[in-house]
Amino acid sequence: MTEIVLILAGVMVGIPAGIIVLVALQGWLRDRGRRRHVTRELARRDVLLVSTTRLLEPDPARRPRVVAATVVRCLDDARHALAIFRTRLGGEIPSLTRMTLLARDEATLRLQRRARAQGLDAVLNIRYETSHVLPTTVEVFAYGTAVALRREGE
Amino acid sequence: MGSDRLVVVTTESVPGHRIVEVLGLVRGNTIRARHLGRDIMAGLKSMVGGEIKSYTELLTRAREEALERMLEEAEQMGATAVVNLRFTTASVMQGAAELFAYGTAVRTEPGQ
Repeated sequence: MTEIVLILAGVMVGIPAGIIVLVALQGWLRDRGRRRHVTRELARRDVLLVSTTRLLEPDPARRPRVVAATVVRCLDDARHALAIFRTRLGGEIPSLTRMTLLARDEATLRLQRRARAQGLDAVLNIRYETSHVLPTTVEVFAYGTAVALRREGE
Repeated sequence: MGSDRLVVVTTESVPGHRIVEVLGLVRGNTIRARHLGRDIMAGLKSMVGGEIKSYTELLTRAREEALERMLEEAEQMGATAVVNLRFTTASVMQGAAELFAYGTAVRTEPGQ
């Protein structure tokens, strides 16, 4: 009788725990791939991104455009639980640091893409806004003014 | 994002244009509650982690709405451009967020 109870308890705890771990592993692998992709794309630097207004001289003949991008990201259940535990210890929470950074990079990448899609090659006055949607979920919003730069010799 | 009728920039000046009249502050806002259907999907998604596309889309659309309201006000003032555009977000209560867009409506003419 006790064995049956133990086996049942084991199954009831083991299966959900197994699912959570497997799903988290899949999420971790996917995030790693995403991070590589975003880092590689951002390194292309074919669109100049600055947080200044007057440093660069835009082409007056081309119409400037506001470009904006939003990214909402969350941690998987396993890392969420670890992050909550980590707040009891104090100090940096690396999983959250990485997640927020990835969300920012992804938003930045979308700004770059949207500027390029309009045929513009720089984004001026970039601003970031971060808001807290749910526990261990962040929203990153980035926006700026996409312009065409004046080419040398023109 | 933005408008075809008005020039909208986050900078203080418009390239190739001169500001001839400053019309004043224009703003637009919207408060959005979380959507139940999306919430269930987001709840499932939070098991795996990663980007929650439905929220990304919801917030993008809400900001466009706030921007649109700001542009309407600028148009009514007879503006040709909105400079120094800014966005802010505030969570007003559990499960609802306010998206706010503001800028300065101006009249511009071509020339430096």
